[in-house]
Amino acid sequence: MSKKVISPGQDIVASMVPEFKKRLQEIIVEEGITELDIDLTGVEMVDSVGLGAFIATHNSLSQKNGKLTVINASADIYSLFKTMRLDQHFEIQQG
Amino acid sequence: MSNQKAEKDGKVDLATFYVGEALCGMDILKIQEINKNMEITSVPNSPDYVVGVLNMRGRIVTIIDVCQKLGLPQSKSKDTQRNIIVNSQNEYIGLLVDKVAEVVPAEWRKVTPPPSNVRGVQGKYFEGVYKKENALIAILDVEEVLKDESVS
Amino acid sequence: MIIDRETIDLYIDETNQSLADIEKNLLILEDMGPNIDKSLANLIYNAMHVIRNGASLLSLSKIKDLSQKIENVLGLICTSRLTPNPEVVNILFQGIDRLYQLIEKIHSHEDMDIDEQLVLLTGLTSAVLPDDIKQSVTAVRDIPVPDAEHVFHISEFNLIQVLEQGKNIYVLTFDLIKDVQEKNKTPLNLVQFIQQHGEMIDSVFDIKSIGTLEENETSSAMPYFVLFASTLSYEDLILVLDVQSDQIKPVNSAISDLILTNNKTHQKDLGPVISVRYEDTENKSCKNLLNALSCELDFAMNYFSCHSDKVLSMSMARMQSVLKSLKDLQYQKNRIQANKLLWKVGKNIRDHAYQNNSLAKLDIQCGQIMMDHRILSRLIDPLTQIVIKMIRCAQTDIPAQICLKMTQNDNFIQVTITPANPQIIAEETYLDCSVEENKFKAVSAEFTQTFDISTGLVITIRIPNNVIILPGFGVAIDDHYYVIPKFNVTYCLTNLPKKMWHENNSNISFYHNEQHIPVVGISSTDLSYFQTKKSLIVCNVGNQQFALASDSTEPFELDAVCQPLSKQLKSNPLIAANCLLDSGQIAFVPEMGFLANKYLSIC
Repeated sequence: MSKKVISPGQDIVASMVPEFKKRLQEIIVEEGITELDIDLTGVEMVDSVGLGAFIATHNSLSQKNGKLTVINASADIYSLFKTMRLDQHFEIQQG
Repeated sequence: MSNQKAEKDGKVDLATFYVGEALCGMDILKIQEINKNMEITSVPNSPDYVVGVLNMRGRIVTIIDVCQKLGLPQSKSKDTQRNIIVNSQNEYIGLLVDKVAEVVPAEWRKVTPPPSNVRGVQGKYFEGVYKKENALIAILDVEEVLKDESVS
Repeated sequence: MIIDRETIDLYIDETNQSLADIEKNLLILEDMGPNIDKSLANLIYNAMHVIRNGASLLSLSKIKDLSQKIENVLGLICTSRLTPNPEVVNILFQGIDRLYQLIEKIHSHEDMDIDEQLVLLTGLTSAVLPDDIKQSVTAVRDIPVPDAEHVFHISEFNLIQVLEQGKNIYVLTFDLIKDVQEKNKTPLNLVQFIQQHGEMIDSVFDIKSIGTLEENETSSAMPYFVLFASTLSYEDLILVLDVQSDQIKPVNSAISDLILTNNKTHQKDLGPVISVRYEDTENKSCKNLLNALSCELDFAMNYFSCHSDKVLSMSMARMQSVLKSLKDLQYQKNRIQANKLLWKVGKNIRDHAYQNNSLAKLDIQCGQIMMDHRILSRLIDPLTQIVIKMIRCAQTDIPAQICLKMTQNDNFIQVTITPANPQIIAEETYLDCSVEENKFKAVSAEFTQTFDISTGLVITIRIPNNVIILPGFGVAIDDHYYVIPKFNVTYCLTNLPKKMWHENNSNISFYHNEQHIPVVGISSTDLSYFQTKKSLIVCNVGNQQFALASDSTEPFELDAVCQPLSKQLKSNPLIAANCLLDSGQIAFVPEMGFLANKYLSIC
């Protein structure tokens, strides 16, 4: 059981998602991380493709009995995730 | 007294009529019709110059007594009274006048600004004055006449 | 709803203030024992409702759930099904305390547990409710998503609350890629957008189909389902959300029994924001919609000082939705299929033919046209007369056949009456229809007669679509006709014994039903004037009751079609509107507030 924190530091949007997903895949598959924290400090916006990345990450971690936590989410992003009931699948903490 | 009236040009046909003893006129193009319908229903609680309302072919039209509005003594000739129906700000209103006279062709450039007092009536009610032979036609500013005095 | 920090801060301040008042008022209520002051109970209820509404809009789910439960209990207190004894109040206070804590933690947002309070409150509600509703408090209803594997689990009581606001429940299906990303929008936009038209009860992502990091292609679909409540109809919702019709599915069968339960009357006061009188209790949908409007108004009033445009515009958009539904409801309420009344014209003609030993016939064509029944019923008589006059004009040995055809476009409904065979009426014959013409004009309809070589005599009546109809009672007072709005009339008295009149300091009243009713006259205040009148119309304006003295022995009912007031009449405080009577005379609608205030002192 190993834990890691990843801080994208930029908006999670379609233009950067392919790269971001590749990085996430590396962490989970190659490094074998099962507890992942995604730190959203400095992230102002998440678009649909970005949301998809979170969900896919959660799905991948679940398969390995792992856990995804989103930390330091801005008020807006926190609200968004809650409204869309994503907090039913993984933990979200406001920054 | 400065009357900010638009500079007008060209010819105009003036429909003339008597309001009390005063001979008044207005651009005939502003007139929808002239009728003799005197089945006017009075409107309770309204100022003296509101004669009442009239059913004009299904439309309720308000009739204003021009004499009262201008503050002139009422004339006695009830059978020569007529309603001049005009269109003002998208509604039809009737002007009750004492007697309709002839149509007078005129030119705007010959119209002079009204004095501050036309036969006892405030000049603000007139657009100008036109001299015809030995008569003076006071051209009514219809919008000013129809203005609601109670609105401050 | 996603909002800025400032709005949340405002919500926190307002709610803290409100909770303090609620606590104070609950203690007062408790002291009253079994005879509680209903208006105080309503005040407390409304205050909690506003908190709950705010939490819902701001997506503060735990606060919303807890305040909802407290609200349910308060609702039972309002309807006297639960007495606020010390035990009950204690449980309520426990809930309120927890709310304080949740509110305090909004920014740091620790996840707090509210189960204990929920259980206590639920216990209260279920103990008190009748059996058929008791179930609904703890019962959870499953609402499946059509064509997908997901099921929403929602508390039945909450569903009933939503239904009681006249809202319809739908399942919305979105694909975040197709409906959002590809339209250059963000998920935030989507959520804000749909919340303008209703409430998101719950929502869920189809996370399975989104896949894992390995298999996921960037362009694949992201299905997202929303359980949505809105006062808008299915058709309106499709238009307003700009989606395909298969993306919206009304939820009916899963909650059909709840909809039926909702139709039993649950008396609930609407509180101090709106007080409305209901004439017909069968008008449940209208009541529900007004309930919804009252909730939205409550919320908007509380956030009026808020600097956030988003909150106010969201509130306004939602109010517009409810108002539109109300307008549609009223519109539908009065419309019927034209043939449902037009057949009467046919029958009249048959009767006429029978009485005159003729075989004249009327052929009516009106398709599926819908019309306001109040206007249509006023047309039956004049239309009949016109057809009869046309038949009388016909010079023919064969039975006259007349065609009545109704067509419609965006602006008006047109009725044309022509003889089937144009030859039967001599050229240039015109009917004398002045009486009928007055009746058409009284409903703002245009009437024309023309003669056409091919069709012969053609009578055309054009009825505009948008007219203002005022149901009222026509009376004559002092040489004028007035139409008193039905809404303001309680009853009419025609027997006016002299001894029932009372005078006190020049205030005249009439004694009836053990009450002194102040009497109002349009042109005079003298007792001698009133005693010449034939009837008293007892009117109500808000809480004020007065009697209007009239010359009519019997007021006549009239659905008056009002014409716009001219500029000069608008400033007349006595006149609210004017209209034409069937006779061609002009009647006025008095400004009832002005009359009510004419005489303020009551005996």
